[in-house]
Amino acid sequence: MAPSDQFDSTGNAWRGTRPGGQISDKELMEKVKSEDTSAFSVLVDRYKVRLLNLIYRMLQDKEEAEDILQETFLRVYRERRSYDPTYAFSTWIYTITLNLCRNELKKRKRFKFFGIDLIKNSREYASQQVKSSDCLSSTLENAIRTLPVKYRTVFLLRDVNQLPYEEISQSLEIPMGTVKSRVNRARLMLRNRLKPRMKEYYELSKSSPLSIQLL
Amino acid sequence: MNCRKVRRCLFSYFKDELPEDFKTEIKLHLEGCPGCASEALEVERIASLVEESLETLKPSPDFNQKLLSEVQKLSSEKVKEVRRTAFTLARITGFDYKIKWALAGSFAAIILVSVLWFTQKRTPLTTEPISAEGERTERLELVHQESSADSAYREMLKRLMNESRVKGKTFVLDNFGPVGSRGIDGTRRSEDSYRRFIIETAGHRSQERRMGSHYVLPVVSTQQASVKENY
Repeated sequence: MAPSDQFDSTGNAWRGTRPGGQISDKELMEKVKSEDTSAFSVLVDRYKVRLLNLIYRMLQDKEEAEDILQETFLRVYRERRSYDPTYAFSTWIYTITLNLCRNELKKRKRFKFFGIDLIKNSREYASQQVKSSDCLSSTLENAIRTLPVKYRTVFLLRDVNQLPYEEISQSLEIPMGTVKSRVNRARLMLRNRLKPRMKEYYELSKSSPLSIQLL
Repeated sequence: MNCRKVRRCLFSYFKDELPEDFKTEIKLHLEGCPGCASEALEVERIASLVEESLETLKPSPDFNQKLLSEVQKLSSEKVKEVRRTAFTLARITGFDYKIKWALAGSFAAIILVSVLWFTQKRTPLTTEPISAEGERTERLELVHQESSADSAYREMLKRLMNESRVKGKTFVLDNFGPVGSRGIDGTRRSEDSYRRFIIETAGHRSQERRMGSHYVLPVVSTQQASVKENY
């Protein structure tokens, strides 16, 4: 199942609108500005799953992901008064999330030289490789992991979180043309990395009725 | 419609991101070209793989609880800080044996803290823009006989610029449609008058740039002249 949360089958259906009496993000933020913590909880529940998965795929660390998720929401609360409703709330919260991810990645870069990062990464990486029972999905996860940050980011936002191009452009502060071309590049890279695996998987599954765990 | 072009667009085709006529062209091509058709099958599989079979992480069950307790801490920290400041003030001024004066002190401290709080929180994710505030105001005064709608619009722009959460150097403005633009104040203006507002409000050294259907305006100082990409 794609990482969308319980309120939201397509990923962003409830943004800024009021379908069938559901309260919009902007309305909730208005309440949060007056310190309404139950309105805040609703917002948290709306975004926590898809943001957690985004952070996880950016940083590849489950514990860290949850810390950053908490920090994201704390920032949203702390800086609630500076939320400008001219923008969609999702644009704002994605900006915060990605800023935090970027800072974390920068921090890691610094430690890489001292070898600290290497140990952590290799252990993490090894355990990830074997994890999923569905081998094709773990192949996909690995393929996404190998995408360079620039491409991984837009790919996750567009194809996994279904964020509209407009919002991606605003969140990342890059032109829409750039967003589109990066998404295309990311998709192409992914296709190329998955090609050999896909072929094997489908060839083999065609010839045998049993489920195969060769990949 | 050659094969190379078709294959480049397959992902977008399955994501329904292409215009109708283009989609039809591709469809027709696929019907007649087995090479591209098998490529298309692969892409379709990948697209549905991405949509359906990525593992969905769930936050730990006590996540909300932990978060809310942190949020409570935020508000109570503020109150503690104010009280501490108030009593310190009272002590310094030598009135700590009089409750009345302690109250007055805490009242002053609350005002001080809230002023700091509100002025600090204007640009949370960024540093303050380097651009000259004085310069902007100066420019505005040069424009005479503005309608009230125009000056309201200008005020909105200024507010946006001050509250810009973007790195202090750019902000995104309005939705710019094909036939005139509907500004953030709801009125319609021509592209030129729109541009004029932006340049006049942001200062003559600013360079506007279209980003999709938005204008992104670097509010520049003499040093910085370009928008930095972060990714």
